[in-house]
Amino acid sequence: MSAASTTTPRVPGSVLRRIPPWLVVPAGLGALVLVLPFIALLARLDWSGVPSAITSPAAMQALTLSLSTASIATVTCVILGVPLALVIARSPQWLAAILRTLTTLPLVLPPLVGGIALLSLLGRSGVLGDALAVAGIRIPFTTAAVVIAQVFVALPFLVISAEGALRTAGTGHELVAASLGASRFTVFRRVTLPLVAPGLVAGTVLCFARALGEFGATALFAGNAPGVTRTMPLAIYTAFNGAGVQEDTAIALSLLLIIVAVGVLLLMRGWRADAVR
Amino acid sequence: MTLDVDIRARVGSFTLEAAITAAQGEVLAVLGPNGSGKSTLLGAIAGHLDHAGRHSEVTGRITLGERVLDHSVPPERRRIGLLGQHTTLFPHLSALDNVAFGPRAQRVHGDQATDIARRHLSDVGLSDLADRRPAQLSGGQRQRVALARALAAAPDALLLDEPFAALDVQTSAQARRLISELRDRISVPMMLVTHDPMDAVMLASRTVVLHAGRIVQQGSTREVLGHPNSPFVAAIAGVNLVSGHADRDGAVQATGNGASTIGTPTRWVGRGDRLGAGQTGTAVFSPSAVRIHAVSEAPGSDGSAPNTWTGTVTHLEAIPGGVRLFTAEHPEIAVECSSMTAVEAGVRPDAVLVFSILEHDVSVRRSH
Repeated sequence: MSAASTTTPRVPGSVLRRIPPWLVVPAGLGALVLVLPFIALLARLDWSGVPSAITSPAAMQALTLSLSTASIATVTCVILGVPLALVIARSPQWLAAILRTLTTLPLVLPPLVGGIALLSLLGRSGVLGDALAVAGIRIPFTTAAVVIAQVFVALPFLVISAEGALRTAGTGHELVAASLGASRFTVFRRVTLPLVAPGLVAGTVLCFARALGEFGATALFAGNAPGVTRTMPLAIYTAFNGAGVQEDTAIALSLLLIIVAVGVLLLMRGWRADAVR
Repeated sequence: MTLDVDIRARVGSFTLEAAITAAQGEVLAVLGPNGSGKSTLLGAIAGHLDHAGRHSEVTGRITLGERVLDHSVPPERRRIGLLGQHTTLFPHLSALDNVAFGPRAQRVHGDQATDIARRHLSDVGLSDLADRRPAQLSGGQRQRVALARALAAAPDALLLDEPFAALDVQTSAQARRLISELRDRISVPMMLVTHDPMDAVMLASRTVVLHAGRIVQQGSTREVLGHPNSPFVAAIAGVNLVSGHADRDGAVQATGNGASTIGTPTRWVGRGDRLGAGQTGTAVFSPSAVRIHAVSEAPGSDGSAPNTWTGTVTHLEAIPGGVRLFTAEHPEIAVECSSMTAVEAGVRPDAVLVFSILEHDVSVRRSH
C-alpha cells in the first residue's frame, strides 16, 4: 500500500475514479432521497411566520421538554447500556448472540409496538400495574413515561455501538493492566472506558438523537399532554393535525428540531475528533 | 524467589502438562512451535486462562517464592509482569503515565509513582520521550516502554511472550541486549516463551521444549540445542540427528532416524559419550559443519569409513549466503554450504557427491 501511495500522486478524485462509473447513478439517487425532502420542507416554509412559530410558548415548552427528557434518557442509557455492552462483549459466543438479539429487538420493532409493550408492563392493567398502584406510583401519561419510552427505543443504539467498540478493543490491554496490579474496577475505569471512548461517544450521539425523535412509543405510553408529555415530535404532529391551518407551524417546528439535531451531531463530531487524537 | 510450576491445564480439548522451574535471576526459555501450549502455560501462570471465554481448568501447583498461586489468586494479585509480542501500551496515556500505571494501581502516592516511572523510563534510555503517546514511538521504543512499565510494577516474576517476534532484525537485537542486561540487574525469575532458538541461545541458561502440550526435552540450553534427543527438537534447533546402535568400535550405525534408505548403514563417531557395542545412541551435527567433495577427490568414499557418506542431490533451498541441500540416500540429513563452496563442489540437482564431517563436529549421546 505504501509503495502504491508513493508512486501514485494523491489527487483528489483519484480514489473516486476507481469506482465503476455507473454506480454513481444509484449513489446520486440515494443522496437525493435523503436530501430532497428537507429541501422541499425549506422551500415550503413561510419564513415570515417562522420566528413567532418557534418562539411561541407552546414551541419552547415542547423543546425544553424534549431536550430535558432526551438528556435524562441518554444519561440513563449510558449508565445501563455500557455495563450491558461489557457483559455481552465478554460473554461466550452463544450467550452473546442471544443477548445481542434481545437487545436489538426494540430496534427492529415499530416503536408503536414498544409503546403497547410498555403499557402491558407498567400500565394500570399491566403486569406490574397493581403493584405500582399499591405503591402509589403512576407511570403512564407522565413525564417519567416519556423518559422510559425514550430509553426503551434508544438503548439498543448505545449498546450496539459500545459493544462493537469493546469487542474491537479486545482484552489484551485489560490483561496487562491486571498484571500491573490494577483491580477490576481500576481496569474498567482507567483502561476499558478510555479505549472505547470514541465508540461510546458515537453511540451516545445516536442514542440522544433517537431519544429526541422518539414519537410512537411516547404517543401510546405517555400521551400528548402539553408541558408534561408533549415533546417536539408530538407537538409537530399536533400542529400538523390541527385542521391544516397550523401546517406552517408544524413545518417551522420541524425546522427547529432539525437545527437542534444537526447542532448536536456537529458538537459531538468535534469532540469525537478530539478524543481520537 | 523461585517460580515453580507443576500443572495440568485443560483448555477445550487441549491439555498441557508441564513441570518447570525458573530460579531467581534466571531466564528459562520455553521453546515450541505454534499450538505447542506456550500460551496456555503463560495464561495458567498469569492467571487469565479463563479469560478466553472457553472452558478451562488448571490443576496442580504454581508457587512463586512462598506464595501459592491457585485459582483464588486473581491476576492483579499475582505480581507477575507480562511483556508480549504486541506492545499493549495504553494508547490514551503518555509513555510516563503508562509506566506509572502499575505504581498508581497499587496505590503508590501520585508524585512518588511519577518518580518511580521516571526512573524506570530512564533505565531503558527513554527519559526524553516521557510525554510521547505510544502512537508517536517506534516499535523498539514501545517495547522498551512496555518493559519499563512491567518493571515499575515491581513484579516477583516476569513472563516474556515472544517479545522480539514483532520487531525488525536490528531492533530485536537491541531488545535482546536489553533483556540480557535486565537478567544481570534484577533478581526475579524470568520465563521467555519463544519459537526462535536464537532467543534461547542468547538469553537463557536453561531451555524447555514443548510439543503438543508436553515437555519433550529440558536441560541446559547448551545440551538441549547442542544435542537434541528427538527429531522434533533437532528440527527446532536446526541440527541433524541420527539414531542407531553402536558397533564393535563404538561408532553409531544409523538404523533409526537419519538412516540411509539404501546400501550399508552410515557410521558416526564423535565427542561425548562412549558407547559399548549394541547400545543405542544418537549422533548430532550441524548442517553447516558438513564438508562436500567431488567423487573423484573423495577420501575413503567406499561407505565403510565413519562420518562419510555418498549422496545424490535431490533438491536445493536458498539460505542466507548459500544453499541447503538434501540427498536421495539420506533425505533426513540436511547439508549447508556457502554459495562459493556449492559452485566449486559442483552442487546441483542429480549431482553425486561425497560428504564428510570431522569427528570433533559430531556430538554422540547414549540413549536412555
